[in-house]
Amino acid sequence: MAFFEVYSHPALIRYKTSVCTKATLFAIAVLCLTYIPPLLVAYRSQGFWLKRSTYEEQPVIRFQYQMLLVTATSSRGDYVAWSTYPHLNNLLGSNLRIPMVSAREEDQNQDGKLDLLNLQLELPVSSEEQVYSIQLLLTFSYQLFRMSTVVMQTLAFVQHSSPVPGSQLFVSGDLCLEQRVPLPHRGLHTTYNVSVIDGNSPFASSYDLVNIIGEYQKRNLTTVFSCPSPVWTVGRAAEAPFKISAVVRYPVEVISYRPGFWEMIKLAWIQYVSVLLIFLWVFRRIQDFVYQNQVLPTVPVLPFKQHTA
Amino acid sequence: MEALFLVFILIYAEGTSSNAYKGDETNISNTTDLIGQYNFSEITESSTIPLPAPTDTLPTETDTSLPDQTGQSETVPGKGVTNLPSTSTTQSAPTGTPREPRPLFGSLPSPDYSVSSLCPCNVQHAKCEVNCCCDPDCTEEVSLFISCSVEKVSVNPKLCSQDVASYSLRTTPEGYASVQSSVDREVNPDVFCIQKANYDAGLSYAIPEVPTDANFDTLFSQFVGFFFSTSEGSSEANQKDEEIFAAYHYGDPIQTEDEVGQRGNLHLPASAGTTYCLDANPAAFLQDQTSTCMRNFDVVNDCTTLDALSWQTYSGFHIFSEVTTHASLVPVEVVSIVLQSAEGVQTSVDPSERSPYTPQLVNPTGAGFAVCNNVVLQVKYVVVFTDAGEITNVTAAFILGEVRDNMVPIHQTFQIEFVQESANKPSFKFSGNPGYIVGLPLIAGTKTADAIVLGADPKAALSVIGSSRDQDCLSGSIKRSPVLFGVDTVSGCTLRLEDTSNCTVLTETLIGVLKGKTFPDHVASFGNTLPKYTLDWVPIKNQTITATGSQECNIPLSLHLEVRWTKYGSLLNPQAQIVSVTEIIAANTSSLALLSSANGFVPVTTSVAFVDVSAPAEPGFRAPPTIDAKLPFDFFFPFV
Repeated sequence: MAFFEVYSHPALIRYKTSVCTKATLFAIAVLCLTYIPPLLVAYRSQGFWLKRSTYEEQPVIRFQYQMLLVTATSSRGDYVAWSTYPHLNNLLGSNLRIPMVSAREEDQNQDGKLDLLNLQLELPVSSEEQVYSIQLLLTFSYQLFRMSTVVMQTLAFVQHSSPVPGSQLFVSGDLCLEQRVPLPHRGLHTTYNVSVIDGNSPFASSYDLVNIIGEYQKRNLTTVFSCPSPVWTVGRAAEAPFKISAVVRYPVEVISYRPGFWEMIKLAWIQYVSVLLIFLWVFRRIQDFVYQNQVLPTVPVLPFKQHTA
Repeated sequence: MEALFLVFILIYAEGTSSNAYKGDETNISNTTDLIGQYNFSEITESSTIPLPAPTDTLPTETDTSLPDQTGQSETVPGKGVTNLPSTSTTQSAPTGTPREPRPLFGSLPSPDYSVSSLCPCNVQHAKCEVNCCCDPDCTEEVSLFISCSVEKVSVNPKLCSQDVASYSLRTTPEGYASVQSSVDREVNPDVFCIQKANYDAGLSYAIPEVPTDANFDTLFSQFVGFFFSTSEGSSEANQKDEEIFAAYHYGDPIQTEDEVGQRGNLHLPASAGTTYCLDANPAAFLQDQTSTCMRNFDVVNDCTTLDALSWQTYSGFHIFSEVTTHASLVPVEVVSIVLQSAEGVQTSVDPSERSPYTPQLVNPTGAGFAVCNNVVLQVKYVVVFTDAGEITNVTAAFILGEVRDNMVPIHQTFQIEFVQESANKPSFKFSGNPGYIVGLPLIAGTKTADAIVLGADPKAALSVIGSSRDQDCLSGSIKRSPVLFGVDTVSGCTLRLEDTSNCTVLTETLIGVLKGKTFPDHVASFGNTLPKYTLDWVPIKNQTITATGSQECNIPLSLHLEVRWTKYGSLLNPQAQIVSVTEIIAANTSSLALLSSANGFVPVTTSVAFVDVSAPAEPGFRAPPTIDAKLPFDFFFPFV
């Protein structure tokens, strides 16, 4: 007649001891060794507190329709310039040369965020002049919303020069965000929501590129127009204008931020508990051994009732 | 039939939005013809106006249920109840349908959204577009096509079931191409397609307001204006209301009136973007500034005609003492005119005789020798103002130079300084209060019996050789640049050994070159040390390194200033204090012939080094005993 297991359940055995015994001491030591070392292990293995994290977002960028153009028109350094700032245009006097500018911003994937700016600029150049260098400054408004709300005004600076006079400059690149310090995880940041170029100022120093770029680069958040391959087209007919065509794309940015309290706790908790589980298992085995074999004298209380009959 | 009606409603609703053809782009992505696709997307963009494309017919809603007007396909889109392909025909000779006139004033046409009549590549009226297979104007030209730029036309790809017009080219047995068009009902395999839309407005843009006689004025005022900006940008560009004050405020342009009575601003030419002078740059009230900019001109032609070269341009006007128009006029008083030769020699002349100092062209015939005399090289305005912001006195000092042909373009320096009327003229400007500030000049002077005597230009009392064009130490026109606190500097010039005939004379000359004309012997220990407190001044120690051997000629070749400074005061706001200054003059330690290279030049250098000798800061209180077993500082980072 074969036996089979019809049912099973674990039996709980209690081990009792008084306060001032070795077993009590052992129990306290085990408790400390179980819960504190995982904290040390998790901390010493780096990355316990998440201090910097990243997220992706496509910023809301609008071209501000403000620009500043400086063009060298001879190898001796003669120049013509133009801007959308009336004060600067007044200052320029005879060096003012008004181009034809057409700009268009496109939302290609219809998600409500603009994806690129097409800018065409035709600078009339007389037959005696030749274009050797271009400095073009465009301003944008830049907004981030996902973690902290950032509203700022940024620049794209296109600078190209060539020893050979050209007829066209084609640039196509991304307007990339440069970040020195991570953003906070929430809040509104409008520190940089001021015009990069003070268009109301009548003074020439406000329009000096050295001042503008110098002030701009002090900021924590800036944008850089990254165009690895500008195309400079050589050869211009005498009466033809100089053309600049720029495609400025607004890519999805990876933005780093300081995580909030609960995000930090969440990740630290996971790390701590994962190490703690190992310690719990190990010390459970040790305790099983110690108490079952009565290494330390304790009074076991068996779960089964003693039949005293 | 109800589903069909809903589909139709959806088509209609989607079509009113500007992205009506967005789905077409995705549907058409299988088109291999990139050019065609590009054209197509352009067309799509151009059709973002709320009016339908001009090629669209203007049917009413019931028109869509009628057979297609274009005659491209005999399929009636509304009757494509089955999912099977409808009848397809080969287009042989489509009959050009007459187009309806432009929409009437005050109403928008109801667009037609039957796929068979949509043709995004048809952009010319009554003319065949090449490779546009859906263009109803194409008849015999079809045989020239090689591919269809638009192969599929659908309205909304999100719908689960919709009509799609497809166009393809087929070669006839005679070898000519012919267009085959069909309208099929396609089933969207996407799980999340729209089966039934019960909120039409959610799928379309708001219908724009159409100008009518009644609302024209409000619409006009909304869109009137000429600006090149975004609508958001224009709102912030609005000018602030300029408050009119009687007196000048900081940063206000200074008002002037010229001889003709024309109002203007006091101009202080400056550069922006390039180094060229922008003459119209206004000077700002209470902003001391110095601007150096470049002036390019033709010596022969422009010498007497270019206004910017003549000093009268910079002084021939009156300045309003206040902003208001009835303010009194203050003349610009010319207090000094200095003539500078082409070599840099300066002679002061009497400014009261003004007439001879207008720009004059000398030797205009000689091609290489044209010289323009009395060209403005430097203008310095000093404006005296009262506490009430009123200008009481304006003086101008000029340096007029001789400019040769080969010296253009020239630099012009313009300087403006504001002096308070009531204040006593300060003896010198502090370089810090109390400690030195990095970047400001060291203050140095010569000790007399009871006080320190400062030089004529206390800012440049201690100076090193500046960079000069000809690099010759003995040329006599070596520029000097002041020693600035905290800025380590090195500079120099060259000495030609042919000049080393008289050793003692040369030594003296070189000492003068290295040290400057007046070399002080004391340096202020703080930036604000007053000359009367002689104990606060640190003597400059002297140290000379000469050759030990019996050289026949020892000439000094380098001057090194070592400034030792320390931090003084509280830990949070330490002040820089100079504790010692050592001047180390090194002469040649070997024979000059060995020092010089083959061309006979010996470099002569000056250098300045600032050494921080501050002792490490010590806490000013007894530190409590600490437990060394510390947790790392960020152990409980988010909690503390």
